[in-house]
Amino acid sequence: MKKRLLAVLLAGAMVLSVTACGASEQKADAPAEKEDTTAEAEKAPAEEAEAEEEAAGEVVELRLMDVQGADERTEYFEWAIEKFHEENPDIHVTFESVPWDSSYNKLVNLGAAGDMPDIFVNNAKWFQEFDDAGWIYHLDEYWEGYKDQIVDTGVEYIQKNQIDIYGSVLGFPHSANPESFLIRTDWLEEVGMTVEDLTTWDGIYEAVEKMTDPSKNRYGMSYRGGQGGLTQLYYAIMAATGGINFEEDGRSVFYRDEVKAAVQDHLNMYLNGYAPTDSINWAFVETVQAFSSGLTGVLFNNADVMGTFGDLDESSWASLKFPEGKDGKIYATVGGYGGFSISGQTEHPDEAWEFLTFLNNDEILKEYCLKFYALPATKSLSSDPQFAEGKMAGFVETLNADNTVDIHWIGYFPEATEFERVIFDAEMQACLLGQQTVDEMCDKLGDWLTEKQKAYMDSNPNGIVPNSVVE
Amino acid sequence: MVKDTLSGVLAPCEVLLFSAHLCDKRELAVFRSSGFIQREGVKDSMRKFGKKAEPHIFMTPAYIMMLIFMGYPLVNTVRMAFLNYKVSRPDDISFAGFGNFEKIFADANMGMITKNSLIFVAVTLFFQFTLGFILALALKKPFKGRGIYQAIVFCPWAFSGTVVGLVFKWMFNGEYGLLNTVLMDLGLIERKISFLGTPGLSLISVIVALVWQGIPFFGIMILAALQSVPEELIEAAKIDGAGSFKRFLNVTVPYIKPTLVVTVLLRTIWIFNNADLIYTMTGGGPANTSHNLSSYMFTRAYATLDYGFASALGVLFMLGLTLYILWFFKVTKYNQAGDNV
Repeated sequence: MKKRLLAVLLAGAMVLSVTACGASEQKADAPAEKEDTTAEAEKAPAEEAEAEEEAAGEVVELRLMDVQGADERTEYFEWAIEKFHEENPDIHVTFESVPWDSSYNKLVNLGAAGDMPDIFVNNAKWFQEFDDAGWIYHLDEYWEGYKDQIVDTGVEYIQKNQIDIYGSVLGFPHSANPESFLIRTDWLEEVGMTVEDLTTWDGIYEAVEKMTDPSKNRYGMSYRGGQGGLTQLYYAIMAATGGINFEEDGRSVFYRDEVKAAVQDHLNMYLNGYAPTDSINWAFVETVQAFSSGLTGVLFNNADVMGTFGDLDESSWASLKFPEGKDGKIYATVGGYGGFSISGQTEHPDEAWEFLTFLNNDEILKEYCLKFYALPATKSLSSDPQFAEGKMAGFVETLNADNTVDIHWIGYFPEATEFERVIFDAEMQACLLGQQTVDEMCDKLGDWLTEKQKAYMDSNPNGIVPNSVVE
Repeated sequence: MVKDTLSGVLAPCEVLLFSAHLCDKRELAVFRSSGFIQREGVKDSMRKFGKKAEPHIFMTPAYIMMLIFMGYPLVNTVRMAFLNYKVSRPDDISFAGFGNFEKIFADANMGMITKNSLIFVAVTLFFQFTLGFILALALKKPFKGRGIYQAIVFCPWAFSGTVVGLVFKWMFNGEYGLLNTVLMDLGLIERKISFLGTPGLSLISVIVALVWQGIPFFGIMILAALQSVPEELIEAAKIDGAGSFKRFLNVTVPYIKPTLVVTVLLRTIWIFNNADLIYTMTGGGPANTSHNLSSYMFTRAYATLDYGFASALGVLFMLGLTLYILWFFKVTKYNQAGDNV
């Protein structure tokens, strides 16, 4: 028995020695090294140098995501990235693109999965939720050393729309992408109107009505009844209330008669047949296609959309100065700076910042602004007159006008995105279908907003109430 | 004692090695001749155990994958259904009890959307099954060019839901859509129809797209089943004087019943869970009238980031579909399927 036990033990020892072979091979060098200290001394610097070389050769990988998927934009960003690689061989940026209408879902998905791109084009309306979730890197430290290069309106915008509200800089000021109306001037001329007639909201509605001619398959408005349909109406509401969203006690202005009248005017464009029936479901893509294909005469959108009109004759359309409210003031979003954010999940914030500042260098930013009708955020380019001419004229006039009032978005409660993406669209569509009246729609929306705003005010006594200060 | 212990340890090792085919009988003979293995009773029982365990050992990688990709999400969904869980508030997660389920039943849209889901499943399934069956019967007998025809008609099954959604969205477009153009050219309509902007029609448009996409699934499955029906059975029925309809009803259908039951069951679940076509074509609009439960859950989950609410909806789906499966098996007498030919 002892012999057998011994045999097993010996066999076990043999197995152990065999399995430990790899380790013993590695360790075999150690005594030899100890014996030959001179050799070790010579070897050490060589190994260090090799390690340094490896470290130096290590390329940092960054992902950049654009949320306005378009071939022209992809082409631009790939060009910019190539330029960046030439100057920064140790940082490699991979470009990703996603269509605007699905961009929010995509980013939420990636954020929830812990896989957000290092840098992404952000939307100020998403700041609250994304910041709460920890998906945005706070740029304050970088900002202090950089803001001198940004135009004053840009610095003010970041202060008012980011620092004052969220306590931090969440978006990198790259370029301004203001919103306004784009109009078919050739159609306008045909109906005996001029751009000067369109300085008020009523003027816009009149042009929409007159330009509609079903016999020519023409409709006045690229009506956005689907996702994002709130935006245009929201500006009309702000013009009606003088930039006020909530009463002092947190009640929504949707209960006000002037708001209900503004909503009725907006809905009439669809109800009276000045927009295609299908537009009840239209979102970004469909409204832009309808305008660029010659189906509709008026489009409300950001300036950058002008770069995607393809074959539409340049001389046949123009941008409008934002319409005035009944008090003679323009209620618009001034600036819209802060397009890029660095993800809170990134492991390379320094390199991401490096890339963002590269995007703001004169050559790269100028190309972007000229190509996509944007206004540069940097002082070095802001004085260039070519950015205020041509198609950008209407947008720039709005920004520079003395009577322009910078408005707030619908509210800073966390459910603001839900209101824009689910609640509002469904209620407006029900109204467009005749399932409810404007009064019923506004009261429902008012109830919803009031509840959320009051809850926000209770939990944030020092929170910002999104009412504009009219001087 | 040591010998007993060793033989006790080595016996299962031997069985495992044997069952895993890692050693051959000659090697086992060496172990036996060494005298370690003497407990034949233990050895036999372990061998039997090993025989039974063998398939599971080979399936282990699949089990692990299933646990990771199905088990974990399933358990996590049930867990989240009972939590106040907003993705944007990772530090503010708390137990919600049945709060999320209460929110579902309090949702004013839920009645309409549940009704939509039932219509969506019933109508789509009916047309997919009927047309798929006809397709399979048409393709059963060989004819010239059958292979090419077969390849073409089975194509839709290979397309992703998003692609199909975009194609049909353009076809049903109220202004530029192919369908409106064709109907107007044929003189069937005077004014363009807003297929995707009219309640009712928008749901039908999505159903049409899904029917088109799903027909090949039934076609492929039923065709394979039809080709497996033994000719002798058909011949025997012929000799007994059965006509073609009777042969089809009393021989073919019972023989392929297991395939029919499983395909209908699978398709029901898939259609019920289908959200991509609705999301792509109508976004659930206008005014939520083309949402089904699945697309509504998808929209709510992303718009509100309220994964607790969406998970509760998912748990209700799961329960509902499980009950449906049990009921379906009972009604179709699945256990007896194929035995009564």
